[in-house]
Amino acid sequence: MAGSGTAHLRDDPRVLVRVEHMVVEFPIHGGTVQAVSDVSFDLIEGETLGIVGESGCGKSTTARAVIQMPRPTSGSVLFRGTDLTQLSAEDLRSVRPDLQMIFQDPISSLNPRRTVHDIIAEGLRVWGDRGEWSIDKIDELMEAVGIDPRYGERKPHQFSGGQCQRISIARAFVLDPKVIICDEPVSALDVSVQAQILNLLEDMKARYGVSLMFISHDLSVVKNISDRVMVMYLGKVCEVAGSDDLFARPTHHYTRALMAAIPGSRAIVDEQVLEAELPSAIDPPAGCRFNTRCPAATDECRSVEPQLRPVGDGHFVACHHPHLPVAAAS
Amino acid sequence: MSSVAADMAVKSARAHDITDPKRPASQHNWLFILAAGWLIVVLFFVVFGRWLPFIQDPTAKDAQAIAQSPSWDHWFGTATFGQDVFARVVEGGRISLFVGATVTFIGIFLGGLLGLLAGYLRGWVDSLVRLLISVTLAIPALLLVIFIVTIQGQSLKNVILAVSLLAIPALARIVRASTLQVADRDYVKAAQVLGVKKGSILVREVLPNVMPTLVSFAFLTFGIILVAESSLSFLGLSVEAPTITWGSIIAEGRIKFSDTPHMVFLPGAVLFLTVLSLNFVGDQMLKRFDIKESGL
Repeated sequence: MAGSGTAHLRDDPRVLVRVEHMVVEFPIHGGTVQAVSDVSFDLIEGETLGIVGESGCGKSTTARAVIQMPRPTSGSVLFRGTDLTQLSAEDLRSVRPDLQMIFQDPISSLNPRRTVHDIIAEGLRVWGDRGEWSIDKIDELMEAVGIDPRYGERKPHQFSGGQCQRISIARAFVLDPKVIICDEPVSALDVSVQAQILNLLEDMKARYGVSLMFISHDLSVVKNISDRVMVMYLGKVCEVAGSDDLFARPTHHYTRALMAAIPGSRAIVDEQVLEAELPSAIDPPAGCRFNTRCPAATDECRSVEPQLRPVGDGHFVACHHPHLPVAAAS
Repeated sequence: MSSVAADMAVKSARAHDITDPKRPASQHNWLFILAAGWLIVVLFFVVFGRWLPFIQDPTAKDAQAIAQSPSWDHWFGTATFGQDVFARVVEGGRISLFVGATVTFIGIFLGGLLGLLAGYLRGWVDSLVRLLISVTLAIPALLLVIFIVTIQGQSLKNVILAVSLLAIPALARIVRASTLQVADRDYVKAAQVLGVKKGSILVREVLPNVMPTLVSFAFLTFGIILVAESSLSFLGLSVEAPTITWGSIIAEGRIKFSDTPHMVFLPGAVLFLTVLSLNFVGDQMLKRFDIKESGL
C-alpha cells in the first residue's frame, strides 16, 4: 500500500505548495531512520490538507520539512514556484512569514517569561506591518481568537491549554501567512476544547484566506476540517482523496483498518483491526511497506512497491489490491 | 474541563503568589529569610565597616590585651598582638567577598557566554567548549590555583584570575545543560518559524529562560569561591600579608591554637554561615523559579 508516485499532483495555477519526491532521513547510531521516503503532495490556495497516520509514520516530519525544519535530504519543496530546499538560510528567513506553524503542546510553544501581547506581536517586531495586522491592532487580533485583550500583559502560565492554543493561533496569523502548518494542534486538549479550537481555526482560515496543512492521528478531527486527506504509513503515502470521498469509500487496506479502529464504525467499514506494531523505519519492509500487517498481502506486495494510481474523482491509492466496490473494479 | 481550568488557575496563582498560606514549601521561608538576612548583615558590615564608629582599627596593637577571649570590648577576642579580631574579620571580608563577587561575575559572564553558545549553536562550538570544560575540570583545582599563584605572584589580580579558572567551566557546564533544554522547546522553534534572527532568538527567547538557573548557581558558586579563596589564604597563597582575609585570620590563629581558639572558630563560623546562607538562597531561588514553570 504505502507507495510513491506523483500521479495525484494537480496542474492548477492556484497550487501554493508542491512537494515532489521528498525524502527525510536522520542518521542515527547503527543506521538511518527513513522518516519520510519519496513523498509528493500539493496544496491549493484556501485548501486544508489533512495528513493522518499512526504515531511515527512521518506525518509531522513531512509537514515540518516543508518549512525546512529539518531540511529534507532530497526532493523539492516548491512554494509559489520557489524551491525552498535550494534557498540559503537568509533567503529562507525572508520567506518564513508566509509559512507559519501551530504546535502540539500549547504550553511549551509559548515563552513562559514573555507577555502574551509580546508573544503575539513578535512577528511584527521582526517584519513590521505586512498587511492586515499592526502593533495597534494586536488587541483586535486577540479578540478575533477569543482572548480578552485586557489579559495582554499576562504570562502564558496564567492561561489554560485551550487559551494558550488561541494565543498560538494569533501568533501564526499576525504575519498574514499563506500557509499554516497545524501539527496536532488539538491533540493535547480536552475533547470539549478541541471543538472550539477547530472551529476557531476554520473561522480564521475562512476570514483571512490561508491554506492549512493539518496533521492529526485522529480521523474524526481530520474528517471535519479537511478538504483533502493524505494517509501516510511508515514514511510513504497510502491514499489521497477528497475528505468526503475518502470517508465514503476508503480504498486502502490501511485506511480501512484505521477507520475500523474508530469505535462504533465496524458496521460501516468491515476490515480487521491492525494487530502487529509499526515496523522499524530504520529497516522498512521491502515492496509495499504495509505488507507485514496487510490482510490482502501477496508475493507481489512483498517485492514490488505500489505507485499511486487514480481510482476516480481525484481519489488516488498506492496499493496492488485495493478494496474497490464491485462496480468500479469491473 | 472546568476542573482542569480551575486546577491550572490555582497552580498559576500559587506560582505567582508566594505569600499563599497553603503553599507547602512555606516551611522553607524562614530559612530563606534567615539566610538572606545574614547575607545582608555581613554585606553591611563589610561595606560600611570602615565608617562604623564602634569598629576598632584592625591593625592597632594593644599590649594590654593580647590573645584575649571574646568580651564586651572585643566581641571576637583579640589576636596575638592585641588587635581586635572582629575588626579584622570585617576588614578581611572586604577582600574575601570582593574576590568572591568578582570571580562570580567573571564566571557568569564568560562561563555563561560559553555555555549559551555551546548549547545553542551545537556542532563544533559545543565540542570545543565541552573539551575546554573537561580539561579544566580534570586538573585538580587547588593545585591549578597554587600553580598560577606561585608562577604569577600573589597579587589580588592573580588570585582572582586563578579562582576564575575554577568558576568559568563549572558555570559554563550548567548553562550549557540548561540552554540545551531550553533550545529544544517549541517556543524557540516558533521564533525560528517567525523568521527571528538567531542572535535575537538567543537573547530574547533562550537567555531569559536560562538566566534563573544561572543566577541561582551563581550564589552556589559564590560560596565555593569564598571557600577556595580562604583555603588559599590559609595556605598563605592568597593576597600577601599584611592584607587581611578571612582565611589568613584563621591561619594566624592556628599557630597558637591553644591560646587563640576564638581566632579559628569565630571567623570560621562567619565563613561557614556565609557560605551556608549563599547555598540556601541559591537553592531557594532555583526552587522558586522552578515552580513558576512547572505551575504550567
